[in-house]
This record gives sequence, C-alpha cells and structure tokens, in this order.
Amino acid sequence: MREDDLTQASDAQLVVAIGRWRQDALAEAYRRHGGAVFALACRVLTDRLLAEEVAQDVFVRLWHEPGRFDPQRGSLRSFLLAHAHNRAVDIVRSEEARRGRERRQHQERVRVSAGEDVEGDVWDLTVAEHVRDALGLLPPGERQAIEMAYFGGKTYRQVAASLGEPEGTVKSRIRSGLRRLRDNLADLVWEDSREP
Amino acid sequence: MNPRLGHHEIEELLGAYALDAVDADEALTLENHLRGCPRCRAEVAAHRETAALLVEDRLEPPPELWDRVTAGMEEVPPPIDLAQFARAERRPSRATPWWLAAAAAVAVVLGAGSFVVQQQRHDQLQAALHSQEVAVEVLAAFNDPGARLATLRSGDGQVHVRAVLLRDGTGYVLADRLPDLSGGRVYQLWAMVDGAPRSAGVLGAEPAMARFHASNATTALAISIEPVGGAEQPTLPVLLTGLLEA
Repeated sequence: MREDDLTQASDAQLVVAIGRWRQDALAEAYRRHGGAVFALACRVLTDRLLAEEVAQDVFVRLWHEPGRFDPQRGSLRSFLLAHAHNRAVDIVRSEEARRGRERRQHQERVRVSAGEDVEGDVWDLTVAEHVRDALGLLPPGERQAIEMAYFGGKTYRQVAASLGEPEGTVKSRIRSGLRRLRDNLADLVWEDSREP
Repeated sequence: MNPRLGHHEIEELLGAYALDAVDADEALTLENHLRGCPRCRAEVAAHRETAALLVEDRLEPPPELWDRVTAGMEEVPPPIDLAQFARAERRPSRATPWWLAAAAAVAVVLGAGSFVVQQQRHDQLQAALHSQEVAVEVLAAFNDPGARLATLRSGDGQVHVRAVLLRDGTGYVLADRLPDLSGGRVYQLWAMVDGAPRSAGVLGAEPAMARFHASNATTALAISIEPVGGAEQPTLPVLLTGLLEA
C-alpha cells in the first residue's frame, strides 16, 4: 500500500499497515476515530484530562497490539470504542470506590459541560439522523437504561437502584433496547432507501 | 462471587456486558462463557456495534493528544533502505529481482571482510550454545563441508543473522540477535527458489535459533516482519537478505 492510498484504505487495511509499523496508518485511524473515542471517554468520565488519558491508552495499545483487532468480529470503531468504554468505566468505578472511602466533596478537575445531563444533549445533531429517529422509537425505560449504563458508566444494578426498578428488569431492558435499536435502525435505513 | 449461571442467565446479561454494565465477577463469568460460545460472542459484538452508533463524533480532541499518543510508542527500528543495496551493486540489471540484487550486494561486502564474518559466526555460535538445545546440531551443520552458508543483513548493516543450509534441505538460522517484536508481529523466514520467495517458516516475535527446511534450489534467504500467523508473500521491504554460498 502506498502512502497516498491510506485515506482510501479500509480500516482493516489500516490495521495491517499499523502492524507493519506505519505510523501514518495509525495517524489515519486516529483521524477517523479519535474524535469518537475522545467523545465517549468524555461522556463517561465527565473529565477532559482523564478522557485524554483513556484515548491515549486506546491508540497506543492499537499501535502495540494491532493483532487484537479482528475485522471478522466487527468494525474498528466499535473495537476502539469498546476499549475506551471499558477503560473509562474502570476509572469511574475506582474513583467511586475512592470517593466512597474518602468522602471527598469536590472534584477539582475540569468538568465537560455536556457531561452531566442524562436526557438532553446526548441525542444532539451530531448523532446521525437515523440513529436519533431509532432512539425516539424506543420505549423510554429501555432508552434510559441504555443511556445510564453506556454514558453514565453504571452497572445495571446501579441503574436499577437509582431508578427503583428490579435489577432483572433493567438487565432485560438494556438487552432488548439494544436489539430494538438495531432493528429500528435497519427499518429506517431500509425505508429511506425505498424513497424515490 | 455469584453462583454458576445457566445459559439463559448468561444470555440475559449479554446486553449489560456489552456496555460494561456488569459487576466484575459477572464479567469474569461472561468472559469464560464467551470463549466457548460463538453465538453469544456474536450477540455481544452486535450490541457493541449498535452502541458505537450512539457516540457523537463532533467533539474535537485536543491537538496535544496526538503528541501524547506518539510519545507512548515503542522505538521503531530504523527504516530499511533497499536503495542502498541497489547502489552498491556494480552492474544493476532490470531483470534482477529486488532480493537477488540485495543478496548479491551483501555477497560483495562479505568477500571483503571474511575475518570479521568468522568472528561473528563464532560469537553467534557461542551465544547459541549456551541457550539452545539444538546447538549441537547447529554446530555440526556449520562445520559440515557440504553446507551452504549465508549471512542475512539489514539494509543499514546494523543487524546480521547467520544461516546454514545442508544438502538434505535442513537449515538453521541464528535469529537470536533480532530485537523482540511487540504483540501482533512476527519474523518470517523466506527461501528464494526460482526467483520467487517461499515461506520457510515463522520465527516468532522473540526469535532464537530455528531449524527450517528449504529446497536445494534455494539461492538466497530473507527475513521479513509479518502479522502473527505469517504471510503468503513477504512485506516489502524485507528486513534482512542474504545470498547462500554456492
């Protein structure tokens, strides 16, 4: 693959090039997905500095261990986001444990302005139109459970406790909500493609 | 710890697991299950794809973040410049394959410094004798009067690897001086037969002394860096090349 081809390369080809020590391939992967990785880490951590650490970790690991990505199993974006989410949630939970012990009142780090709102700006204009429509079709309980788990970094038990719902209900809603979301999305895209 | 979960309970947890919304002990149980259950793995992957769609893309990462990423990278070996080989060759021929040109240039270099080569060979064998069980075989192979020897060199001349090929097609390569590779990448050995590279085996990420088999018609050897599992064709430029003595 030539240098000038990288912007045209598939994500899988990029990862192969990264495996061959092509730093420009990593740069291209970062250009495509760095914003999303950073955005997700910011949402979960509500802290820019910690989010930067997570994003750094995600791409450095891609550099060191490109073989962990298997294109048969999904997209590079979801692979990177899953890693970012996992790291962010680890930090949130260890922070919670620490704060629980120390009873600290204030966090001195800079908050991301969008971070705290659960209902509002998640589904802003940056989310693709179809995704917003598909979300709008979800039962509110499913949508809320997904939102609190994914963007709030909470376990389904924590979600259940804060909503006063049974744990089993929340657990099921996350799963059925994700399935419904995918189905809705497929329907919307299908309908859209049939319009004249 | 939670008690053992049945398949139904595990399935019920797949959505929460995909969003990292399970407790640590549940995550362990799920991971164990997923290793052996392609259907559940596929469901988790699908949930993660769906969740990924929810992530907004407009937030601009701070410009210094990319600098932090590159600062966390390992030292990359200097790029191998095959053009150097081409320049060293006296009579370049368009018909000559890239690897043969490289190997021929190496042979020219070797002719000028056989004492150094002998010394290197001695050093490498000494190092090998201490650590490897095939050392006796290797020593015998290098002392076999019918053996064909090769020194594989990197384009910058910094790294050299000795190899030997016996008449019966058994070969040994002393690759223990190659730097270890990090995850996802391995060294692969190539035998050049009738002008085409054939894989002579994957040497791994932390290569040591390795036995290989190659055709008697092999004219040169090369080592490249490939993804885990190896490749069908070497990634260019190859790391090291060397001509087998006639």
